Amino acid sequence: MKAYIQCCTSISHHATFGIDVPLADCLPAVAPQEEGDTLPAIDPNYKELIDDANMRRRMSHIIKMGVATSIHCINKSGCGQPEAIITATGMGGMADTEKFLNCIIDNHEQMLNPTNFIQSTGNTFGGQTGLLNHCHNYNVTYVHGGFSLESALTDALLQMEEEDIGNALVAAADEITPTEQDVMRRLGFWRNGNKMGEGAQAFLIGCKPQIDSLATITYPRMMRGPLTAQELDTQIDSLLADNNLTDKDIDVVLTGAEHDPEMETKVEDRFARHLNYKQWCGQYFTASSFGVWLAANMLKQQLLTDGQSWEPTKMKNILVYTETLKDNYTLMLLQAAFDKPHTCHQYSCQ
Amino acid sequence: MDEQLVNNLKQQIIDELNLEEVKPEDIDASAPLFGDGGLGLDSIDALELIILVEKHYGLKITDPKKGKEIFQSVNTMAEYIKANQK
Repeated sequence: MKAYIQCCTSISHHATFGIDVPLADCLPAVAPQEEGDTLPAIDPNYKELIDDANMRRRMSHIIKMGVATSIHCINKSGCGQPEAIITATGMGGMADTEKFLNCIIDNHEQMLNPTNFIQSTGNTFGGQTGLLNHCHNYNVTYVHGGFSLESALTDALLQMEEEDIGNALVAAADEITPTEQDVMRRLGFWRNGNKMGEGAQAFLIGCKPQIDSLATITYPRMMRGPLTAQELDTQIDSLLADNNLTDKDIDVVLTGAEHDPEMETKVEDRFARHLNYKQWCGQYFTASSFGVWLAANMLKQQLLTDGQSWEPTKMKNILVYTETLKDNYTLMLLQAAFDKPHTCHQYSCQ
Repeated sequence: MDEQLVNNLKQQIIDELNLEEVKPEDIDASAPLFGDGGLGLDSIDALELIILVEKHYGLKITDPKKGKEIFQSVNTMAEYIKANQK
């Protein structure tokens, strides 16, 4: 089953949110060295996207990011109401969870504020997107660690294959808070190369091609660790064979590795070109959604960075490899939506 | 009316309910807190206000009928606190 990514939006550490933002303008060709331990997201003007002030004032950062990307994606796609809203998050509303837990301690388990409790659950941004869009269709959230986005995509693809739905909004979001950052560091998480990040991406996917489709996506492969190099090779072989591809057909591999350099090297050695996508977005449980957003836009705009600038490059197939905490390994294959890709100047990255 | 108490309540309401775009001087102390014509608060805010009164003034509101009267406006909240605080 292949679905078409009709539209996608992104809030990340770079200026990726908006209308008609060419990839070469919104992402540096190579992520610059920055001070600090985190890559916080650049926030758009949420007032323009979430006009209900009562709703907005209760929203924490993750909800604003998730709702803004989702609503913007739905509006841009022109689909009106998606037939399913399927969201993904690794940690859910961390800021609200922390406030609520601190409130329990500070107030000796009395006088607990309802808002933080209500908003802390992982499904809040999917639910609020549905409310704002007046969409009463299927609305489900996956909170599956490093498999969250992949599980949401699998759900959407399965329903399309069963012909239950023709399109779906698939969105992912995660936020960082100082407490989470501290706890993660003390537990030894996110300690390798890439910094901690946050962000949200939304994808409107459909089973039929449209003139402005960005790319196609197939069922993600999800593998639990510990994983051997042979097992990873077998999964890659199987994914490529299912799509009638060989290693040479993969134009570039976007890698999002964290704790398993052996496996990362294995993937990089196998294919001619590779690019670390987490240099731009940082490490978080749903970072693979940034990888998918980047791959879709690279295919649409036919642009590849050479480390100096984004250069027009003919590409048909991009593999997104992600590893989270040496426990979750995923592979996602994106392919150009059309045999003859449009020239890059015709399209924006949004 | 205790001006100091009214001003404190306005600031506490803004802080607790995260009324980002509202300043204390924007709140009419006699205007209704709920529904049209005032701050437009809703049922979740009502729960937050009950907690606010208990947390900051040590007053527990257990009778829902009383709540409707107490939370009519900032002034009625101030009157209740003034009358009941020990």
